[in-house]
Amino acid sequence: MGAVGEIVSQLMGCEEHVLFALEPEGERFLPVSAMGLPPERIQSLLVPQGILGQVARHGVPYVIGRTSSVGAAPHEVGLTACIPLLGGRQVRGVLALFRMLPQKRGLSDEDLELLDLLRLQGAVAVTEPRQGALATYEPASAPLLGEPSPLWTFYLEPGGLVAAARPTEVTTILGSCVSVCLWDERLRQGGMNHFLLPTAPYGQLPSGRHGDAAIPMLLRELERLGSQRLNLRAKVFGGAHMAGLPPDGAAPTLGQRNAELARRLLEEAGIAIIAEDLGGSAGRKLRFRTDDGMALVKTLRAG
Amino acid sequence: MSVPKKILLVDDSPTVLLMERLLLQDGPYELLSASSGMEAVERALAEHPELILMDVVMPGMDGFEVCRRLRAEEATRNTPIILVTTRGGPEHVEKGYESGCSDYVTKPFDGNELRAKIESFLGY
Repeated sequence: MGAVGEIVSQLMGCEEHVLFALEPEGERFLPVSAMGLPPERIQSLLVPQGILGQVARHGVPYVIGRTSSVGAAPHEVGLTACIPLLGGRQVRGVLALFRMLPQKRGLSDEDLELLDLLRLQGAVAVTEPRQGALATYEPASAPLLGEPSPLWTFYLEPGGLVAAARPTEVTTILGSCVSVCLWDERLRQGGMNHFLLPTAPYGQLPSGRHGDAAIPMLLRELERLGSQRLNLRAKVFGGAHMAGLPPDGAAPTLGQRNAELARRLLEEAGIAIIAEDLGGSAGRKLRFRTDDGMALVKTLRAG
Repeated sequence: MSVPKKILLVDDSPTVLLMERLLLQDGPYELLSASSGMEAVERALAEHPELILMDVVMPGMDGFEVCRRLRAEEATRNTPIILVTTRGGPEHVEKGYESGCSDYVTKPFDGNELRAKIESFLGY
């Protein structure tokens, strides 16, 4: 279960909740994670209508007792709250909370603050909603009084993408996948993607899961945050092949093809690669700081 | 047409096994399955599959332990093992690599992506 699920169940005491990504056309929800709800219940919610539909369309949260429940659909009985997840101005998904733990009497002010945090996380974590790859984040620690910019941390799922103007530490784990980290030295901001394949397989829409979409997307997000391309530097990681060495003359491995694509697209974009750790036969845990561009790689190896 | 390559599918959920079979049945593979960690170790050592696609969370012996046991055996030391993890489980992924898995996919996965990973390991 993701950080969102943990916050909702552990901190807010809600034992029935579901996180939906919204399809780009807004016609359907895609379940990302759920707890306590039977599959048929989730199935009945997949078409955005009733309150969930209103939240998805208008981006305005619903909280029982505080917002009108006019227009609720029959299968939304027991809905406690529904929060839009925003990426920029767009609703990228919704979080719906149903039954709370018996000792909870509705949502407290702290709960509402947490929900507001979750609502806005989409604005920081720009992700590809089609595959439900919502990046999640939580504060690394409680910010100290007077500290101007606490460090935020994200775990980036495969196919996700983060671009942040505030100091953020992004962590991800790579096998044959590749992450491109871009860093703007002047504005001290940056971002990271995590793609699985160089290009979209036949029949699949290009998304953050594919390098030829994920790299331009990351670049675009940083430019939207004010970065100029000439100030961007790249660090590239991943692309391993972890099952013995491929035989001589064999086709390039998926990892090699991912790495090759990253190098080529960055060169075409005129962005210098100032560090890379690619290939090899071990997984990698990567941490990247968007403010100072520091990247740390831990090699994950058996034994 | 070359000999179909053996893939061992491991999951304690029959539904997931069925779904994996549906995704892979059109490929040039011979699909085997195991519904527990122990059965996975036994089948892998008896049948020498060319690749293993395995769930992490299983009652009894979990996917990590299966990885460790197979890596300790000469016959399966280099067999590609792709772990199936759930979203938001970075600690599973990290532990998976440290147990000797070769790669991971996150549920719900896409059939095309899964095939691309498998084909890369099988050298198509």
